[in-house]
Amino acid sequence: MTLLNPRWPHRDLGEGGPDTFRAFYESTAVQVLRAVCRMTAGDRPAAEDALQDAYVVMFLSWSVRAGRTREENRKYLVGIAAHKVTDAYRRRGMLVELDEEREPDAVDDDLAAMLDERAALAAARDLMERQPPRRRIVVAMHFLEDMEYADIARALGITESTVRTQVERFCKLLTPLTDRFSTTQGGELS
Amino acid sequence: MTEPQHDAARDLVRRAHDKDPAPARFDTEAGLDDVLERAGGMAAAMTVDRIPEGLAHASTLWTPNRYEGETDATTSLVRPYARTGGRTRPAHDLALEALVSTSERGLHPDAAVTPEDRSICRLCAETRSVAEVAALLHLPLGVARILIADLAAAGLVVIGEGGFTAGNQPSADFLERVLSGLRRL
Repeated sequence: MTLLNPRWPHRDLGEGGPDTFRAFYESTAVQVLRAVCRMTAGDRPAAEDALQDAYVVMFLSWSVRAGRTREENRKYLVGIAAHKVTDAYRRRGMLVELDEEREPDAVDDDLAAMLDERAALAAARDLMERQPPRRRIVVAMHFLEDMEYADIARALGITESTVRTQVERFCKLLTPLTDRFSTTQGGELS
Repeated sequence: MTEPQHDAARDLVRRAHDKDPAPARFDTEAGLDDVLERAGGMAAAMTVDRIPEGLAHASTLWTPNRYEGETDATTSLVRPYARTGGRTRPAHDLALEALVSTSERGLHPDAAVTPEDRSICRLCAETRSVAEVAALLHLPLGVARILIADLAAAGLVVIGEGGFTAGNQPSADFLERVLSGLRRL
């Protein structure tokens, strides 16, 4: 398939070399899509839309961004995609509250005690899915994409302390699982 | 929250993410193509914004923050101009009421290439006005005009004059028909 689009006759993607847009896209798209799918709670079309639009922004500013490291560009891209996901939720307005007032239920402590590792990981995914949209987005950016609070705050147009609060609340809800299943804290699997 | 708690949460979230039994698969070749398609639409939209003398005309094409096909529940961002390659004026001026009918060649299923063109060819198997085509396909009028003019140039549709005007005035025949239509209401 040729990537020279007739509507972009003067701009090709560059077929070789590690610094081309094509190379960036091919090496990051799947990973970022998976993270964005977490932000949208598995809504694949919404995730793809946000992802592709983020790449369009990247593509249009590639002459400026090409000199940055792949890691920097990936985080920048995740920031744009997260912003677009937030916008999409905002457009749905009446249907979805970005920050729901009611706190989602934590994983039940007794239940967590009965889970095996596979079930625990499924419970963690489920817990993430049940978070209000903004918290889900923040958690995915921070834990899956390694983004700092300041970068997340800038990308989403919220304060750093809001980002911190969202991460802390999520961690608290996750505690029954992390107590038992984290490999960093002397849990059952360590 | 202590640092170990934070690190434990990170560890668990990452493992949960990595061990997802149904990870998202993605065709990067098709994805790249889609990025270019969207980029084309965006650039075209920006071009329209930069034509001050064309603003009056562009206003029929350009609705800020709302794009064709976009509803509250979807986030389709294919701009109307993506469908016209960024053009805002048709090759030939088409009256709103000009009648469009698909030619024999246009009725062939493979005659038109893009989905919009195919829709127009299908729709105009029964003669319809330019305004009707735009309304039925939910396309801005300006975009529909351009697409129809292109199809006419390619010989896939035939443009008939509506016979609704005589000079700049509506024709007597047309007014008669409107009047009788109103009486029947």
